[in-house]
Amino acid sequence: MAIVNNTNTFNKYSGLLIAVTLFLLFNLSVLGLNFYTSSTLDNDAISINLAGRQRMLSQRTAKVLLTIQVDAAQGKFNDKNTAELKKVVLLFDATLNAFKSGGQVLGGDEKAVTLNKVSDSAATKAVDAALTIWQPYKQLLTPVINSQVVEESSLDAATDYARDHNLKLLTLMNDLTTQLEKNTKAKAGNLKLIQTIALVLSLLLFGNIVFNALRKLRAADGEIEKAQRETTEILNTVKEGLFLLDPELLIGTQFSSSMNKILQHDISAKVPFMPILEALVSAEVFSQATNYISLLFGNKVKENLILSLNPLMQVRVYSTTSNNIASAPRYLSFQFNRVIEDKRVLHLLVTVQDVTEQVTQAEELLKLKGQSNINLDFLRKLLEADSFQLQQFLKNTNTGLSALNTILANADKRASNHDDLANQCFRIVHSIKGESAAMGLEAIEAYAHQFEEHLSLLRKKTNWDTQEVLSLPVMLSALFDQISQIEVIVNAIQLHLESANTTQKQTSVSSSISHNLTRLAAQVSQNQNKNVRLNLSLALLDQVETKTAIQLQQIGIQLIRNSICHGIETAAARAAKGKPPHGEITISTQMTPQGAIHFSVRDDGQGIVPARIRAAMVASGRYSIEMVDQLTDKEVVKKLFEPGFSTASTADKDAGSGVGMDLIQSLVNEIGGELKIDTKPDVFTQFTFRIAQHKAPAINLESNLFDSTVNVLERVT
Amino acid sequence: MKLMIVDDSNIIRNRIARIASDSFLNQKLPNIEIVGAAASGVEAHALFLKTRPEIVTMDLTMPEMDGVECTTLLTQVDPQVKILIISALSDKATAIQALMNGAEGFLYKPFTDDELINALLELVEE
Repeated sequence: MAIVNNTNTFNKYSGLLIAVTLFLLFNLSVLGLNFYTSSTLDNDAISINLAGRQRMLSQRTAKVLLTIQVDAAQGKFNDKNTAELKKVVLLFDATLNAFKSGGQVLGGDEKAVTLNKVSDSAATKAVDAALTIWQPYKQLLTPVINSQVVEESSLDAATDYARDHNLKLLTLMNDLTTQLEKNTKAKAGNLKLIQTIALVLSLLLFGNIVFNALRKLRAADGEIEKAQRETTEILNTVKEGLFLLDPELLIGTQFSSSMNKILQHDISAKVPFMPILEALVSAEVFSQATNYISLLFGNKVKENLILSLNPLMQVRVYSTTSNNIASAPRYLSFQFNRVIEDKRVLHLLVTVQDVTEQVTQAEELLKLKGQSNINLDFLRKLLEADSFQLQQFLKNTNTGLSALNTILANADKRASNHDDLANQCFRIVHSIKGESAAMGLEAIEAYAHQFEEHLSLLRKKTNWDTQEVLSLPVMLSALFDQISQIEVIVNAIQLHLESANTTQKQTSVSSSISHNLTRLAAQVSQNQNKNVRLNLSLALLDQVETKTAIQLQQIGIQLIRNSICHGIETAAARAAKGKPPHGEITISTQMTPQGAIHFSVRDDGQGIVPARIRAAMVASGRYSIEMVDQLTDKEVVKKLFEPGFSTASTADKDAGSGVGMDLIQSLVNEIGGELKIDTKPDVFTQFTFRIAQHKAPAINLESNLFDSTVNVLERVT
Repeated sequence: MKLMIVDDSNIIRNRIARIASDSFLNQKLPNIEIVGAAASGVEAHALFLKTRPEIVTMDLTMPEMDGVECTTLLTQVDPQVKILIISALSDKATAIQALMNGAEGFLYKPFTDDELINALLELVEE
């Protein structure tokens, strides 16, 4: 999902904007009012000025009139005086009328000015009174100002009137002036008041705006600080790596603190992201990721329609800090979300998660699914297996595992003798491996093989560390678990069979051993890629104790392995020797006329060649060439029975661990009897075990090493 | 809006056509008129010049000319054309290449009816 930023500046600051607009409007109206008042004051000044002039004009009229009269009495005539009188009278008349009803008059500078009619009662009264005096005065003056020759009577009438009324007229004009001045003063006072109030209001409004703006600013700052604190807290706490990637592919100024850990890289603000990514992922993924990110910064593709293509959705990352190749693989998930402002991709919000656990779990689930398949196969094998054999196998294995357990439990006390410990364990595990292989129980065989490998590693070491010894009981318990699982299943099957009251034929010991050995031979020869025919004649095994029969089976198992792995040649090698392509192993039981039972295993392979054993002894590093040369062939052959000795260069599941002969030796010891080896190079090898019955094992050592046949009779102690 | 379907499988072509026309009946999608279906890039190019669709669903792996090349050609003819890549997820790199060359979205096969409808809705949305 894209993140869209909506920044509406007007909404955020609307209060402030309205307040400022009101403030401006208020100031403008105060200014307008001021302008209006001062213009009326201008008019008032003209009125006062002209009212003052009227005072002067009234006196001038009287003075010029008297001058004309004096001149006339002396018979003189000055037309200048008449002209002045005319001018003065007309000016006074016009001005007085203008005061009465408004109009234009000449101002002091001879320019026309507009005079407003007086409005207040006192002034009007003065103007009206003046007009009452002026009208007759003007009548009397008209003949004086309009004729060149002034009649004495007219002049006298005018002069008399002037003498009587001049003072009154002056007083009235004076009153008018005073009144107008008073009015103006009052107006100016009002103006001052209004201006003061307006100034105070304006200051208050301004203060309010500043206060509110500051408060808002502080609140906003607080919010920003809080948001930043919260962001920082979030970024410090989240498990995910979070950061913004800008179009220049630089990491933003803020990112979560888990980034360093997840990316295993020191991240800082404004560093390029791509080199960091490049170090983490494969070149192929990196190039895909580069394209993917550039697609997201472009406007063309739909974010939601390319999510599934994110090459970093789950990606294996490689350690950049250590060269430790063995360290467990790590998986990260990078998710990208567009941050859009004004339909433009401003940033990508990148979320990084360590998904190693999820991936590992998914893998384990897959593995479990595979295991359940194996388990099914295992179950099928159990069902197919002979129940008697299975019981024997379980019994033997349990005995073996208990013995192992005892050995390991006492391991500390016997710490000085680890070789012995390893060899004992090895024998038991090897026997379990062989039997489980014979039973076709590959899962157990695999466990045992793993155990064996671990033991052989330990055997090569001179000093064991505690960890290595401690891992043995863990492996033992895994084997125990497997066996107890089988027991549960076997018991269930047994119960089922019994309850179904099946009259299943009890198979004989010999036939079930034959069955197992056949299966083992088939399996091992397949593993070794050799052609082997197994001839069995084991009927006499039904006549010995079951325990002995099973022990003989174990001997058979080990010897079949040895024959196929070491004795029988490959088809090509056999062909070169003129032998049939398939090797032959014959296991048989025979009764001697004395009633003793012989158990023999014979193969037509390459035989035991002392020279090869010598070479293997030297190769093992345990013996020097000189030591080996001093040994007789018989002694050399006896080395085969030493724990850990093998002629095979590599150990695999079937042979080469060097324990088989050692195990046979122990079994022979357990059963009691004699073991004889007959062999002829390139012809055959035969192991014959004479089972001692009702008597202590005899000491008997015969040999004929210088014949083409080697006879080694192992003495049983 | 005019839609062209490009896919070498006639099953997929018919399926897309059916979903697009059905969903129009359900009024989930704006008026979509299917103007043609092509089985290869070459066919698609010719059909595009003739019918001038506004939306194209594009397969990636096709004979003659693949989806990436075809996308490049179509967007050269009409940069406004909206191309939805419909392909298997196995080859992310090729799909990303098609998007670099002008396609606008990606839908992986197999898809459900709703997935296709939602993808087409997303595609035509401004």
